[in-house]
Amino acid sequence: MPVDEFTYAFIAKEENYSDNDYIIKEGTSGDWVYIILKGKVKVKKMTAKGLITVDTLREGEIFGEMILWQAGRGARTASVVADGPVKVGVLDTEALLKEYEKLSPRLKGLMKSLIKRLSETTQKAVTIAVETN
Amino acid sequence: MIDQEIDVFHAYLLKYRKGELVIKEGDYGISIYKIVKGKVLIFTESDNIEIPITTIGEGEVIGEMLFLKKTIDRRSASVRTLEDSEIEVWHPDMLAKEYADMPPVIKHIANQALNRLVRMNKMLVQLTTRKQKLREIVETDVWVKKRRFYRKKMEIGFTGRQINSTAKKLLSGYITDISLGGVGMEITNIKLNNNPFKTGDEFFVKTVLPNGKDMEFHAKIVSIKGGKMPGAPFFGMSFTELPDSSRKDLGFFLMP
Repeated sequence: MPVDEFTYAFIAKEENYSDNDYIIKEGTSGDWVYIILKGKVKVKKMTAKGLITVDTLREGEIFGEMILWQAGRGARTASVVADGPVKVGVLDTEALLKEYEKLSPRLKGLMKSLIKRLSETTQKAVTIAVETN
Repeated sequence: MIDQEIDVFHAYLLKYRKGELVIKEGDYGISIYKIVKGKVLIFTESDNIEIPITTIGEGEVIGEMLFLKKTIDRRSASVRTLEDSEIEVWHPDMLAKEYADMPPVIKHIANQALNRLVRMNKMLVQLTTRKQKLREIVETDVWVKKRRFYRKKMEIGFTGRQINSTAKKLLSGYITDISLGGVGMEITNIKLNNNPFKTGDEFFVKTVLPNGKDMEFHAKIVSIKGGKMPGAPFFGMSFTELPDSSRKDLGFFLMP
């Protein structure tokens, strides 16, 4: 998908990665939200049976945004690895947080719930995938 | 189910008992539900089997997908209460102003998170269904394996000697079918109308399997009837003792 114009305005800098470079490492604390400008990435999670690919994200998609909805900067819930050469835009987290603060408490609650569900569902899917393989 | 208006926000508070259906998969729905008290199960159905997806507890919200996507769509899963629950229902119109005021960049990010959630949900349902089907296949397979060993028909000569008896009478004839449980024998050295044996009598039997392997076993009569040859008896026999080597040879012989 093309890069959303509103999001474009929040790009603080651009970064380039080579095939298999880790852009985000699971378990580390993170500060940045990213948008894919060119190429694609694989989202991977560590399991008892090793690293498994959970999702593939493409141009225009955003990742690392979990930190926006969390009170503290929690640990990254998955790794994001470049699949071929990738160019990403690093978003201005502080500016994004300011926008997030504008939401009504009700909508904030909605967003938190949504993100929590995404995280839990992904984890569940990963657990079953490991069990049945 | 009782409902009452609660505040200026005009949300409705619905009370459900344990086990009630709150949302049905496939229904058109646009409301958002917030669990104020209790717990609910999100599930889907495939081939009439209920597949649980996740449980949602107090303070959590469901149905937000349709609201944030702003499309008239069908519910992607069903929801029922796991215990007595109180659920606040928000109609999208109530949130219309708040939604309109949502910063575009946040709306964009939220929509993406939503799409990802839908994808993960689909994957979870697929994996859960597959896990269930795999379990069924394993259970079926054991039965299929057992059936393959059921029985084979043949005609192999045998000699038998009665055991556990002072008479120690002899038996000879043909084994016409064999399984892991026993054999069927056509008897040639005695007549049906002059049969000295009865059910429960036990014999030591020697024979040679069609694959050339010697086989010895103990078996007892469980049934007596007329055989194929006129006047000849047919004994249904059940193994009482089968040496490991013979059991193994029999096993191999019986495999398709």
